[in-house]
Amino acid sequence: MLSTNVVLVTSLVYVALLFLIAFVSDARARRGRAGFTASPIVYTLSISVYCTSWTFYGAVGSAARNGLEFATIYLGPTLVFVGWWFLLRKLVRIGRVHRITSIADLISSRYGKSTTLGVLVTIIALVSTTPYFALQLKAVTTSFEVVSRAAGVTSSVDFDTDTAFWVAAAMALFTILFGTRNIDANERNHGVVAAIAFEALVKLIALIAVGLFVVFGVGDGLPDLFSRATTQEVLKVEDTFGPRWIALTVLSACAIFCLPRQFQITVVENSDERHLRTASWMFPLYLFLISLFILPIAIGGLAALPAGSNPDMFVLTLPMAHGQDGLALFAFIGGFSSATSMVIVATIALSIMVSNHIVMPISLRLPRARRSEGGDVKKLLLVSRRISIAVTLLLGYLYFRLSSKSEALASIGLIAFSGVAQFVPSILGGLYWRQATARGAIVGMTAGSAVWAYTLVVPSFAGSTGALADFVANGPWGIVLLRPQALFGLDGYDPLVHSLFWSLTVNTALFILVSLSRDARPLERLQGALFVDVFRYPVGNESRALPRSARIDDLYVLARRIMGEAEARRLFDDFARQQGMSAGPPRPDADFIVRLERELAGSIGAATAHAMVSQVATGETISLDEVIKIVDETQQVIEHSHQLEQKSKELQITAAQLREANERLKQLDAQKNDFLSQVSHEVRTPMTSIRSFAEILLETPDLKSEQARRFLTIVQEESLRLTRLLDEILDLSHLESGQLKIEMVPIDAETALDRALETCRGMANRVKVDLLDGKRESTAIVNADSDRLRQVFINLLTNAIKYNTNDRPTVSVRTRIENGRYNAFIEDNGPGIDAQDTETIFSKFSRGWERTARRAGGAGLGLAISRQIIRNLNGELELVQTGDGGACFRVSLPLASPAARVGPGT
Amino acid sequence: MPNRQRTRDAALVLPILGAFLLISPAASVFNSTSTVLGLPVVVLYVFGVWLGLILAALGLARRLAADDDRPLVAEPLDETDD
Repeated sequence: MLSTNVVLVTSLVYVALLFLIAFVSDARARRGRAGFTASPIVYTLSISVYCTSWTFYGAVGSAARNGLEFATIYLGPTLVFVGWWFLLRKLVRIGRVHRITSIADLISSRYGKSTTLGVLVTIIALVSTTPYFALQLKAVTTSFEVVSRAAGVTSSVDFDTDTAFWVAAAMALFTILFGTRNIDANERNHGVVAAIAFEALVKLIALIAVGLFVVFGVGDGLPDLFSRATTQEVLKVEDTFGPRWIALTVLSACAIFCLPRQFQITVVENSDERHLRTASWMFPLYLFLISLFILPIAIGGLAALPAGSNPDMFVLTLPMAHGQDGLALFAFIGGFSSATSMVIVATIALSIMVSNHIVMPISLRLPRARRSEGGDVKKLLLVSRRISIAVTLLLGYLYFRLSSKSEALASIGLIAFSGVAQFVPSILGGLYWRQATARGAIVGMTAGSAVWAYTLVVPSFAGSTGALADFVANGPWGIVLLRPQALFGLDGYDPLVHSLFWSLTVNTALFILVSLSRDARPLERLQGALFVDVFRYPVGNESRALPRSARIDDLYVLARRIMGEAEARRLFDDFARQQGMSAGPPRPDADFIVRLERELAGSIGAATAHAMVSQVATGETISLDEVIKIVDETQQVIEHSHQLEQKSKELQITAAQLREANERLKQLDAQKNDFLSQVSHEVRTPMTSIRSFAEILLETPDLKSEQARRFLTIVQEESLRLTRLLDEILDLSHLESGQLKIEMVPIDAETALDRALETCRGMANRVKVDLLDGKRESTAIVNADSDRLRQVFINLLTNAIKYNTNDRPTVSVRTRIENGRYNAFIEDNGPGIDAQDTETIFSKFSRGWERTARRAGGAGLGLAISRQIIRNLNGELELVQTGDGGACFRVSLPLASPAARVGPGT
Repeated sequence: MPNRQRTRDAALVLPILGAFLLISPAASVFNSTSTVLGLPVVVLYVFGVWLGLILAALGLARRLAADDDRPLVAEPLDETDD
C-alpha cells in the first residue's frame, strides 16, 4: 500500500530530477556542448509530447468503451510522418528560412505578415488549449487520488484542487526558468528539450511495463487475454471502420502539425532538417509501441476489475489490484510525465504567440513605446512571455476548478483537436496555393471556428437538463434546422463527425471563395510565392521587391531595442563582414533591411518585425512589378524545362527540314548539271555545223559561189538558232530567278489570244492545219503583260501546229470563265502526250513529242518558259486530259478585280 | 537520377497507400473478430499495416539518406556567399 507521503515524495523527487536534467543540459549547451540534445532521437522523443495524459490514461478508457477507435489518434500522425516528404519537410524548411516562431506566425507571415491573422490564430489556439491544460491537471489529481486512496486518505475537493494548483505552479516555474531563456524562438531551449525527451522515455517505459504485467501477470499471454469474453464486446466489430473512424484519423492527422505544441517542437525547435527523416519512422514507431498494450490493458481491466471501475484509471488500478504498488507508482510517474511535458511545451508555444501577436502589436500602438533605450522590447518580450505562461496555466487551473465536476473534460481532447483543425485549410492553402489571400484565411477561419464552437463546444457544456440542454436538443428559438448537433437537418451522425464536417466545409469553402474573389495585396503575393516555392526559390532575393532605405542608426537602435546591446552589435558586425567591410556599420541597403527584418522576426514574429522596421524605413511601397517578376521567375524555372523540351523538338523539326532541303539541293545540283550538259549539247550541234561549214569555206578557195552562198546561209541559220537558244536560256533564267519584272496591268486576255491566232494563221495555212475557233468569251480582264501572254499563246499554238501528225490536222481554241478564273484551252488532234509525260514536258530541254513526233525542232525550252511566265502572272499552265486523242493545254489566270480598268496595254 | 526520383515518388505514395489501407472500405474487409494465432483479425490487420508503414518509412528514409549526400538542411541561415 502506498501512503500519500510516498507518492508525494516520489513526485517531488521526480520533479527535482526534471529540474536537474534541464539545468545540466542547459548549462552544457551554454558551454557549446549541445551534444545529445541535438540528436535526431531526442528530436523524435520530444515530438512524442503529442502523447499526453489523455493518451496515457484516456486511451485505455477509450479502448474499453470504443474498442480499436483509440488507434485513430495515433494512425493520423503516423500517416503524416510517413508522408513527411510532402508536408512536414516543407513546413520545416519554411520555418527555418523565414524564422517562424509559432503556428500563428506561420499563418500571419504567409498571408502578408498580417497582424489580424496572428491575433486570430492565437485566440483560437488559446481557446482550444486552455481546457486541455485543465484535462492534464485533472489527470494528475485523479491519478494522485487513485494511487494514494489505498492509504485511507479521504479525498476532498480541497485536496484535489490544491494538488492541481501546486502542480500548475511547479510547471509554470519550470517553464519560466527553462523555456524563456532566449527571445529568439528559433534558438532551442535545450533544458526543456532534454527534460521532455526524458519524460517521453519514462511514459513509454511505464506504459509498456504495465502492459507486460497485464499480459503476463494478469492474463496468460495475448491469446489468453483476447479469448476473454470482453474482447467481443470491446472490439464492437460492426462499426469499427465507420465515419467516426475516418473523421478521427483525419482529425489527428491535422492535429499533429496544427496543435501549437506540436508545431513548436516539430518546426520551431527543429535544429536540422535531416532529423525529420529519422522522425519519419521513429515517431510512428513510438506511437506504435505506446499503443501496443492499450487494448490488452483495457480487456484485462474489464475482465479482472469489478464492474463500474473507471476504465480511464485501469493503468493504475490494475497493478494495484494485484498488489503491484511499485508498478502503480511507476505508472503514476509515467502519467505525471505525459501531463507535465505537454503543459511545458504548450505553455511555451502559447506564450510566444501571446507575446508576439497580442502584446507586441498593442505595445507598438502605445505612444511611449516609440523611443526607448536599448533592450526595452527584449525585456517586454521576456516579461510578457513569463506572465503569459503563468496566466495560461492559471486559466487552465480555473477552468479545471469550474468544470471539475462536469463530465465535459473527457471530450476536451477531441474538441481541442477540432479547434486547431480550423488552421488546416489556411495552412495547406498557404503552402500549395499561391492565390490564397489573408482575407480568405480570416473569413474561413473565423467562420469555421464559429461553427466549431456552435456545434461542438456549446453542446459539451450542456448537461442533461437546463436551458442549454434545451437549446441543444431543440435548436435556438425552437428552430429545428439550427440544432447544434444536427445543423441544417444533418441528423444521425456522431456529434464530432457532424461538427468536423460542417466546420471544415464552411471554413474551406469560404477560404477558397474569398481568396478567389479578390486579388492578393503585393506583400501577400510576395510571401505566397516565397512560401509555395520555398524549395525552388533562393532566399534573400525578395529585397528587389521591397526597395527600402533607412538610416543605419535608426536600424541599429531598433535592433538594440529588440535584441539588446550585445546581440545587436554582434549581428551588425556579422552583416558588415558579409558585405565585405572590415570595420564600421553595414550598408543599410534594401537587402540588408530584408535580412534584418527576418532576423528580428525570429524574435518578435514576422508581422511585428515588419511593422517596426517600416517605422524607420522609407520607400515602403512594394513594387508590384517586381513581385510579379519574382513570382514569374519561380514560374520561369518551371517553364524553362518546358521550353527546353520545346526547343529540342523544334531542333528536331529543323534538322528534318534541313535534311529535306539538302536533298532538294542535291537534286537541284543534279538538275543543274543535267541542264549544263544539255545546254552544251544544244550549243554544240549548231556550233559544230557552223565550224565545219566555215572550215569548208576557208579550205576550198575554188568553191562555187552558189554553193558557198548555200553554206553561208546554213552558217547564218545556225548562228540565229544559237542566238535564239541563248536568248531563251537567258529569258528562262531571268524568269526563274524573278529578275525579270513582268508588268502587271489589267488587259483583255481575249485580245491577246486573238493576236496570237492571227500570227499563227499564216503558219497553219502553210502546213495545212485547220485553226478552229471554238466557244469563246467576249472579254476577260486579267492582270498580265500582254506581250508575254501572247508569247505563251503563240508557243502553245505553234507546238500544236508543228507536231500535229494527223491526216486531217486541226487545232481548236476555246475559252471559259469559271469561278473567277479565265481558262483558255488549246487542243489538237495530234498523237497526244503519254500520261507519264504530263509533267516532264514542262521541264527544260524535254521534248514531249520526241516519242511520237517525226522530227525534233527547237531546244525544248518553249514550254518551260511558258509555264514560268504564266506562274509569274499568278496563273497555271498545265496539260489536261480530254479523253479523245491529242493534247490539250490549259492556261488558267485569275480574273482582275472588277474595279480594275483595262489599261492601254491591250 | 531515375533511382532517386523513384524513391521520392515512393515517399509520396506511401501515405496515400496507408490512408487507403486504413480509412477506406478496404479496411472493412478485415473487420472480423475471428482469431488467427489467438489474436483477432481486425487487431492484427490494423497493427500489421501500422508496422508495415513504419518499416516502409524506415526503408525510404535510409534510401533518401543514401541518395541525398547533398544536405537537406538549409545551411545556417546567416551564411551567404562568404
